[in-house]
Amino acid sequence: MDSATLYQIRVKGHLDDALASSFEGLTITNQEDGDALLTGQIQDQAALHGILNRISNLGLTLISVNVVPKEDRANEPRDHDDLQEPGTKGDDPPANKFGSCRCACLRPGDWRECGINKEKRMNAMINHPDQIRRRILRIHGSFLLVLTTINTVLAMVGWATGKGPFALWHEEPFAAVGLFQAYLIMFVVGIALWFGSSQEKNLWRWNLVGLLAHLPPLAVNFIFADLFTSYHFEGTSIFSIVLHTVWICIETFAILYRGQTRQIVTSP
Amino acid sequence: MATALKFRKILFQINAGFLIIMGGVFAALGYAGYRTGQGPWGELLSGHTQKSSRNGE
Repeated sequence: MDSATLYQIRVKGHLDDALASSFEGLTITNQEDGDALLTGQIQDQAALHGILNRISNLGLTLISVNVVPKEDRANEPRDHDDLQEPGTKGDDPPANKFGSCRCACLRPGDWRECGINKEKRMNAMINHPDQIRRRILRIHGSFLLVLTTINTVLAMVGWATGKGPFALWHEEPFAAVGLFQAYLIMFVVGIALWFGSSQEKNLWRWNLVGLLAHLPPLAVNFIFADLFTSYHFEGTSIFSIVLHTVWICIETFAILYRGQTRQIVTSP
Repeated sequence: MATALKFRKILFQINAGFLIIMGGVFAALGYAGYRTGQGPWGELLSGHTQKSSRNGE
């Protein structure tokens, strides 16, 4: 491979000026079929991965990554159609089982479904687990922001008026202080998870933050089980245990997830 | 730039250490107070389950 290689990256959807400005040095061509081509010299694998990460962070759907062979550089940069088996040129490669992905296969071996020559594939890997982690972090963060806001409001109503699911805090206002604090801390955790989801590296650490945040409130249900029972809050306690356990499991999955790295098909 | 980053990192670690130590100490004191009635929060936190049981709740 040369020190700089001409790559052609196809993404789903057209790129406006704002998005195009994120890919300085690449030529953006919006295609009639609704895709956009990013073409340009990329210095090395690190730079390529940086661009692929940027595509991921912008929420764009990657379709293919091609190396433009030296002999073709004098011509217009090629589309992924050039990578098809002889005799199929001009036809769209069959969509594989992952839907919109055509040339970029999600699992080693799936390139066969794309109708691509084995010799023309390259084991460039997209950090697909990070996409899963990022998505989970954002869903988790949003969930915490919404739920803690609702619960804080309900707790304040219960504390002030003695009505609603937190009416008990009207009689025991000091206990409401701890509850407010707990909800607001989880609200801050929700914000932190959103911040973390925008990081490019080590996303699993933020998943770990999301996991750890649920351990104390989960533990409280067991440590103070007798207190919950004496107030007839068993149902609330079980709901809380289930909720925290589910999120701990989801974040554990996100941290440990290693499968389905993408295999990018490209010409030699 | 490097100095600023180093300063932030040290501050970050001090903050994290403070939260871990204070969180741990306060949690232990709170739990001890709840169970035994001793310590700085003993009077405040203990006896809630008994009170509830007495009231037949």
